[in-house]
Amino acid sequence: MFQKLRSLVLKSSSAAHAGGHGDEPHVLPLSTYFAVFGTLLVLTILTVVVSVIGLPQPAAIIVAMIVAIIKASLVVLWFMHLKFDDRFYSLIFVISLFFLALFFVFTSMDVLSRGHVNPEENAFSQDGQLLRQEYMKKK
Amino acid sequence: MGQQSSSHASTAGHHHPKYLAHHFESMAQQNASGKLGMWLFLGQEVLFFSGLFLAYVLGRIFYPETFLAAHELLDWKLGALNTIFLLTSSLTMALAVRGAQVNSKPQMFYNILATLFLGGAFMVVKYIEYSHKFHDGLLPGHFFDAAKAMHNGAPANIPGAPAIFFAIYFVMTGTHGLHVLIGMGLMIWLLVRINRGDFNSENHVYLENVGLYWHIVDLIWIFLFPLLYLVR
Repeated sequence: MFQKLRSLVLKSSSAAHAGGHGDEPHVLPLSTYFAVFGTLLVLTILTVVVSVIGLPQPAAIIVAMIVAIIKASLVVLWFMHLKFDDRFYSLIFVISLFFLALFFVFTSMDVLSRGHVNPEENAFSQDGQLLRQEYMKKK
Repeated sequence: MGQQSSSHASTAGHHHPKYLAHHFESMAQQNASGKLGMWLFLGQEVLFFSGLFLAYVLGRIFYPETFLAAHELLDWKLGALNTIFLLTSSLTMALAVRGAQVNSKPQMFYNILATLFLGGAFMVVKYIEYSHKFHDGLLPGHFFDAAKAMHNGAPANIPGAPAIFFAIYFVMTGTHGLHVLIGMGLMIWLLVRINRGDFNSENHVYLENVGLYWHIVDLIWIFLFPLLYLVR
């Protein structure tokens, strides 16, 4: 099954860009590396500037995360060669991200809906806040 | 093993270099297997860190004011400096792998050396930050010393649970720092092997895999930096 899956993924990728794989490593020009690095630096400056300006609450974290995701994609696609490598490695990486999302969504669903059953466990209510503060003081 | 591979070469009748293990058909297959293993490990790393990131998210949902107030106690300038160190080290690491592809020993050696030094610079800055936090009593859990923190210039009352913020801060950056240290150890090993002439354009999957590991460490910092130091 593993072999089948692998050949399936390989086939689709070789159709996407012919001559990408083989025994010869894919050598990118130096300018590409420096262009990616330059973009990463610019994006870093951008996040710092956005933070110093001080956007309102939800916007600040959304912008910061979008910039971080763009930076991460640049590193993964060019520095880690996923753009040019066997698509099977991309599949593994994307699967890990899928399980990360699953973990985040289901745990949050649990934790954030506990208030419906027990108001004291409500993350956002006054009661919950007070109870947690008292608990921390006792510690 | 050398005996085996040479007899295999004569029967197979194709190029069979000494670094090709006998159970692999070709270098391409051997390298692909090594990289497949590395990518599985990196998938595991993503999931390993996801728990820490989720702790951050939930901590922030429960104590939004704490996170906003406490993060002011981190020095974003040092964080930004460290971001630049790690991004540059990612570049030199990628260039080292490229050096292997074009068969250049000096390009491999000096780029790995630069990566090693940049990793070291990152750890030095981390040490400065940590010793500052220790001095100011900004510590995780019940080690958190509010009186000491206030005495050293922290706002009079950090709302909510600053001890939880600093627990998350130290565990996240500490685990990440441990990864940096492991990466530096691997680079010393690579330097020895490059110097010995072990790697060339055909055989450099070790170098490539350490590179992938180093980039994942950089990737985690790309998310840690805005979450811990910047977001307000």
